[in-house]
Amino acid sequence: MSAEELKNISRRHFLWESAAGIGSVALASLLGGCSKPNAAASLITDPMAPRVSHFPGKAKSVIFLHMAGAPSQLELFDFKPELKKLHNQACPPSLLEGKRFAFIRGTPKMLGPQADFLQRGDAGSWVSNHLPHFATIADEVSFLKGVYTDQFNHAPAQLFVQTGSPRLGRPSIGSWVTYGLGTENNNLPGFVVLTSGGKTPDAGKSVWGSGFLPSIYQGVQCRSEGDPVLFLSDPPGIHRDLKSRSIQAINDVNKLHHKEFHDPETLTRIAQYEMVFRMQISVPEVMDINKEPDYIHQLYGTTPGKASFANNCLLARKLVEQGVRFVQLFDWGWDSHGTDENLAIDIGFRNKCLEIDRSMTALILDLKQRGLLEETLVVWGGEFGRTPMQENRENVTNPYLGRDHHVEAFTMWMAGGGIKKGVSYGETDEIGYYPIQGKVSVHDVQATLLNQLGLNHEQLTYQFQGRPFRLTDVSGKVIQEIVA
Amino acid sequence: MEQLLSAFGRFHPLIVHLPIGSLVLAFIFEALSLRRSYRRLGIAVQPALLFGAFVSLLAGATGLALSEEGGYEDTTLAYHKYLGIVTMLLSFGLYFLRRHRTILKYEQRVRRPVRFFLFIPLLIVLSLAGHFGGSLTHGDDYLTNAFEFTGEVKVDPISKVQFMTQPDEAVLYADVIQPILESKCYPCHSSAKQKGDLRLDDAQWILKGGKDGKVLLPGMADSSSLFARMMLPHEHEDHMPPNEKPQPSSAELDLIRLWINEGATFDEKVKQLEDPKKAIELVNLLSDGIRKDSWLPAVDVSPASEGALKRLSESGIIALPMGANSNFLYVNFSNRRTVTNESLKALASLQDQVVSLRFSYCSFDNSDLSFLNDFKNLVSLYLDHTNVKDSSFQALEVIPNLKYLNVVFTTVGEKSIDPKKFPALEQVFAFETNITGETVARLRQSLPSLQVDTGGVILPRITSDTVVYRKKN
Repeated sequence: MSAEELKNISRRHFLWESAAGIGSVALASLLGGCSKPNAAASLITDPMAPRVSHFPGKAKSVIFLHMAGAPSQLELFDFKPELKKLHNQACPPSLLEGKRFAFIRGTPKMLGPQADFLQRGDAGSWVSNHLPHFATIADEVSFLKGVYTDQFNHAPAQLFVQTGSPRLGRPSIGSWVTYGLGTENNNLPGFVVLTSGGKTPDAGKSVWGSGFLPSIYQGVQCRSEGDPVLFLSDPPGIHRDLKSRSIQAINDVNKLHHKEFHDPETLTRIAQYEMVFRMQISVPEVMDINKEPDYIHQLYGTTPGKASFANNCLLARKLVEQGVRFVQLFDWGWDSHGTDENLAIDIGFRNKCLEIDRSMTALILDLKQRGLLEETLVVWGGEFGRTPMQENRENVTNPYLGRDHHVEAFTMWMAGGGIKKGVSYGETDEIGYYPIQGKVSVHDVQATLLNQLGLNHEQLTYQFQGRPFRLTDVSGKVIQEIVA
Repeated sequence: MEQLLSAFGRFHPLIVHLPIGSLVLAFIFEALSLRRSYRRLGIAVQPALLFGAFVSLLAGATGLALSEEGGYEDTTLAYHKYLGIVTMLLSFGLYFLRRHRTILKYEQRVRRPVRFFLFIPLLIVLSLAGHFGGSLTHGDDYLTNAFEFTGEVKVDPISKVQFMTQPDEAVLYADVIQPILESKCYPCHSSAKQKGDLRLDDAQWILKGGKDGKVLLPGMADSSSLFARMMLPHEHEDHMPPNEKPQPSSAELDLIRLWINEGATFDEKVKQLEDPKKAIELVNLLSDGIRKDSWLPAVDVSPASEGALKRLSESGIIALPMGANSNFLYVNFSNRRTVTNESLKALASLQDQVVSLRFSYCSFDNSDLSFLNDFKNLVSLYLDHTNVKDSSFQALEVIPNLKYLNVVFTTVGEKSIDPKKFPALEQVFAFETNITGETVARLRQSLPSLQVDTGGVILPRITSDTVVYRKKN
């Protein structure tokens, strides 16, 4: 075999080869079954077949609510009364020396919290009045108040949160998870992406890309208006039977091709043809929220047919209920610089908060009443935090109140999936600038996420360009303090 | 001057290797010159000896300067020092013996072997001095550790705390704090090494402090450098333990903080503390780390039968081990949508292994659940969105380990949730069923720890649901 051919051979190949060679169906049982009764052969080729985790994990699925643009922790969860006293005072130079900000120049003024805070629930977690519904379920959630990143621009920071690296080319968390565990429902994609807020994330579709992993593991973006997946329905005049037979023929040819060239992407293609055929029926069904009862629509605040965060939350619940492994929600509009009304921390930001408040609360409660919260990890967060200083773009105070990007400290929360309830882990200094306790990195958050699924972030690797790669690169520590 | 001396002393580890190399080389030349073909090497012995003698003098001087810094174990240091001095004297002595041939008035033939044997004591003393030097820097057990490839695995002292059954009866220092210090601090601050002149392996040493004074101020954790330096950011150069060493967990840090703030006593029991609850909570937090899988039954089961697994997966049923090293199984019928009697037969042979069983969205050909009677390790059972009804539960006798039962969106009513059948039951999810709030109250009387969630959550309509904030004019 030439070196060129060898390069194309992966672990998955080996499984396919040995299974096909020995004809052993025992291997199929090792891989686990998830296919139609007559599809024992295609089961071996199915890269989405469910697989054994490293150790028993509490969570089966993940819903990641990414607030793209980065919401202000200082108006939501990180209560800093001291900052209120410093409001409008010039920022001390010690906080600016050696720092780079996206927009702040010269000496900005401090900006007190633009929200009222109360301690909520039995655990007394701080939640502001911007999230009145969410405040009632604060006891279900564990807050991470000292998360830090090292990227102060949206695109690299979003990539960092979603792929573990600020540069393009790495697989996203959902890709790693489906690569590691496969998915349980063989009629639906294992990794679904839903966006709202009228804009895709700055980092583009790479935030749900599969990087160097086989492309079957990339996120499938579903739309909440019109056809959920574009070009999924049959063109007029084509019957499902005919489609079935043509896909069969194409796949037979592809299998021959794969036998010859051993390219994993051929397997991906075969699996995708098969999955799309099954998805034609199951996806429109699961993506249709019209059939949900009224009380559910009232709970989430959904309006069918509209692309909204609320609809996406309801869809996320439906998908997870059907055994989808990873659901990624992106909501845009959180970049509260204070450059216009919509991005003002005391106007547009509050409207954004109200937009997500009811639906994300409903998501947690609905998962809970269905007995799914314990096995569904819900993660909420942005790509970085916001500064305790008021933004002064190019050294001129912005027309509205706003905050610049802040990398040193921000808040994320996790719920369900074997995470403790009502824990606030980590603490920032009295103005919320640096973490003084419980400082956790983005890689720590990712390591914890994988840990809840029963995956060891140091063992989930993929051989690429001559070395094994992993989501958390060379760092990451499971945050045991919030693991139940 | 003191600083200069200390800087001079720091060269000891560099210079100390010169005499070793040089003296050993002299010995090798001497030995080789016994053979006729290497005889000419004999003339190199003397210069090598002289060089070795001078650098060992230098090594001795730097060594004495270094020992002034302190932080070394006294007896080992003494051995190293005197053996080093003897090495130096022997090498000078040997040089003079060799140089003044008249002293060794032997015949030409005997002279060479005599010279060779005179080297032996020097080599022995040199090796011993080197060994003790190594012990000083790397610790007593450095060499022996490398040989410990069999025998007992080194146990983290903290595991003692983790397995503690009665934390309130424990002595806070001896049973909790000391194991933490032993695990995280002893490698550099105990009998083996005393970096910064600090030992933490006994109360008197802890109270004495180190080079920079006291490390413990009872009642003031944040001012006690023992604790404060552990709390410094990792990148801070004074952070302890050093970055590359294992770090204490936050529960361990909280325990040390609590111990110091409670007065840093060495004999007080946990229950005598002002806030024993907090301490017990923290000790339990430590043990959490090792009891993560406690939701799985605490028994060992044999691996599942390959044949049964094969039959299940061939019919599109997911049957997977819970983890790579677990024989327990997770079985999911959801992709099948129907549960046939044959597939239940295949399942029956896995009765010991199955801990989680999912029938969500399936319809049973025969919804009688009595096939579960022998599933003694079953922990969670999903019957949601299925056609199970009250009669399905009638012939079911007992599932002793069942903790989680999901019957949402079924017609199951109160009769089915019989505490006698599910003695270990903790959670029942009964949204959209015939189970009512009354049933829940009655069930809780017989099983107080049982949580029954009948769902139906609503979020009240509040003004913020409709308000839109705008710029104030």
